[in-house]
Amino acid sequence: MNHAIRFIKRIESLLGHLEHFFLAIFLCALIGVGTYQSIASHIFESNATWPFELIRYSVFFIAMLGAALAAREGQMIGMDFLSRLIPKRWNRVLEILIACFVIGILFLTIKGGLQLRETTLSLNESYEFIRPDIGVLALPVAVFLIALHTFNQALLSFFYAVNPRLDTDETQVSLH
Amino acid sequence: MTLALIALVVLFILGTPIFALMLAGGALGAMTTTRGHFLDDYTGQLIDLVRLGTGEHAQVLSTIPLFIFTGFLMAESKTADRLVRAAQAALGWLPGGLAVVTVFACALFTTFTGASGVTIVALGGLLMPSLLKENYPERFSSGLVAGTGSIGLLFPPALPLIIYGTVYALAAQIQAGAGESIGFSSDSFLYAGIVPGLVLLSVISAYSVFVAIRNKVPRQAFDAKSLIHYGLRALPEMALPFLVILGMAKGIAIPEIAALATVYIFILETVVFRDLKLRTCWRLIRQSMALVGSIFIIIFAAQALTNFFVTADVPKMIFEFIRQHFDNKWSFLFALNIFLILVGMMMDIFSAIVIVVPLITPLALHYGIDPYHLGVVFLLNLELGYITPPVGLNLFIAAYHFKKPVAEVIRSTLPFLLCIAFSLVLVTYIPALTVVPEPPRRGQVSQIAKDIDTAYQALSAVAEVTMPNGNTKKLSECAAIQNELDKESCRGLFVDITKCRKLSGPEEINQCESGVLSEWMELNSDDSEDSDLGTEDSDDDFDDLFE
Repeated sequence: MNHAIRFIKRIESLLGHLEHFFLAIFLCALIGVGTYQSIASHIFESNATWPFELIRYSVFFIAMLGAALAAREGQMIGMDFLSRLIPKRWNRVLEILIACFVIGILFLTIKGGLQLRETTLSLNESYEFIRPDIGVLALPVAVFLIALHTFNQALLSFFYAVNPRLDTDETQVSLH
Repeated sequence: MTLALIALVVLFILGTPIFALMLAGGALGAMTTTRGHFLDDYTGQLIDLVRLGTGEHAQVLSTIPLFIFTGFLMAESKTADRLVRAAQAALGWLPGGLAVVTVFACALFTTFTGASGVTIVALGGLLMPSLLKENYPERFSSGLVAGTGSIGLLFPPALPLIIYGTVYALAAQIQAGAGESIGFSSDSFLYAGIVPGLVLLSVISAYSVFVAIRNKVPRQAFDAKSLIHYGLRALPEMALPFLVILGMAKGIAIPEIAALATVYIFILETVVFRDLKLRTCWRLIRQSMALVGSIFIIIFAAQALTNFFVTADVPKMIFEFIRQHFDNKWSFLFALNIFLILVGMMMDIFSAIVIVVPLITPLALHYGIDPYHLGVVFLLNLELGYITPPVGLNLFIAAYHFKKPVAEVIRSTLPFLLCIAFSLVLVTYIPALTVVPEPPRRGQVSQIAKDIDTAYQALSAVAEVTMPNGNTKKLSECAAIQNELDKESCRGLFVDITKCRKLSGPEEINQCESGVLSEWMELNSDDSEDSDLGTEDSDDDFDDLFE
């Protein structure tokens, strides 16, 4: 069981690093393009439209990848009133049940997202930098990552519920 | 449907992430539509989600990651320390000076961090020992820090202001119909909370001064030297909110201001003050972007939930219920206050905005409530909810941080709860306190329409055409057509005829004109009799097309 837990945690850590890396790139792009846009439009009076497209997609990518990272860090916003009151072991069982529901909904969203991508591809819309269908693809990819994190955490909860001595994860009060 | 709704409520109480419940609401909406293609309908709701994320509103939404990251940079550096020292040097000589400093420092800090829990943690550790050292009662001190942890949310560029502005604009646009004026600008809304926010700060400061005088808290001697010393050190960070407001007043777009603010704070904390190392910034990107993701996914998923609400006629049902029970806007505002305090207790501010605003928007429009006033009342209620027992979030964070029982924190925050409630009453029933500047003129729809008309007039020298059936068609008739496509088609005819008449020979002109006319007649043969007046039938045809 220990090996399984370690393996899951390693996968989670790797995914977390990847998400962190890409988020940093998109955030830097957002800051860079936003700053460039403010200088270009107010000092050089440029009317270029490509910065708007980059800003819009950077925001969407950050939002989607950030959501995946939030799922990994257990920071998804929800009512934690009940979970504060019940014993830790029961809390783990509750987490597994909730994860099943969440994964079901996410599976549906992945299917919908892929269908949406196909529709966007067929529309053949004009673009400057980022093809709209690639932009749309961020939705199913991020939702898949969220589902994967949720699944991994449900697995960990299962192991902890079966063997509470292994449960060393500390629950912290959310600051947000 | 009822069972499914009950199941969703149960899942909500059990702690299911709110975004998943919203998507489930969207799926329920897709299930209950009559078209029968569940996945197609559900995908249709995802289109709205992606459109919000990549469309025009994404420009405004881009401020969220930028300001959150800026807030994290400030929270991690020694900004809080510099702000408190400067404020103490400036106001410490007043009766209750340090308490007033706490109020203003918390407000300023929350404006940037947005999440009030961060304020309690960042400033609480700094201010609590100082307050106790200056002989402020312990209960008052902990209540002050916990109670003022959310009071900066009305000042620009606090995130709830930006999110409320975006969500309200979307909801009001749906209500008014595409292209119609909604009388609301999310940029102007950023100013709406300034006066009510100052009222709130004044009420809490007045109470703090009263406590200091009653407890004979010693006053500090005014020291100009330390004011200059600490004031200069804190000036670059203290100036940020004013620079943001100045930028907005100068007409710089808020996303550009957000990017510049991030660069400014980054350079300040890493190069000028050297409070932060790049490694720390790397960690802060991870922490802040996870928060950004958790907020965004709710904002996006709310689109699906809104669709469900519309399918299930929820706004209509609430609308009918409220209309039957509240006959004027003041009684409605009172009920709204109670409802929103309950919402603020149960939900975080971002979820509350995206779920509740689309529901109350039609009601507020019905009662003729000013949208800016509504927004300020809405946010102030949620601020109150943060410290309303038994489940206000700040109560738990303060209890955790100060290592005190929650019951004791609740007792200590009660006076501040009353102060905020009093300010809420003032702001709710004196709408004049919500001051909004005129929105910047960026080309109104009516003006654009006039410009287009003028351009068409210039393009088409021909103002009248005789149709093959002998009827005369005038260019001025085109303007009266409601349906945009029909209008375009009508104007196009005159532009084409004008081009024909510029040809050299009369034969060529006649040939060209008859070609244009016959083509136009052919295209408009189905509804040529009524299309030029934009009848409902033709509107329905186009609606069907979009369906």
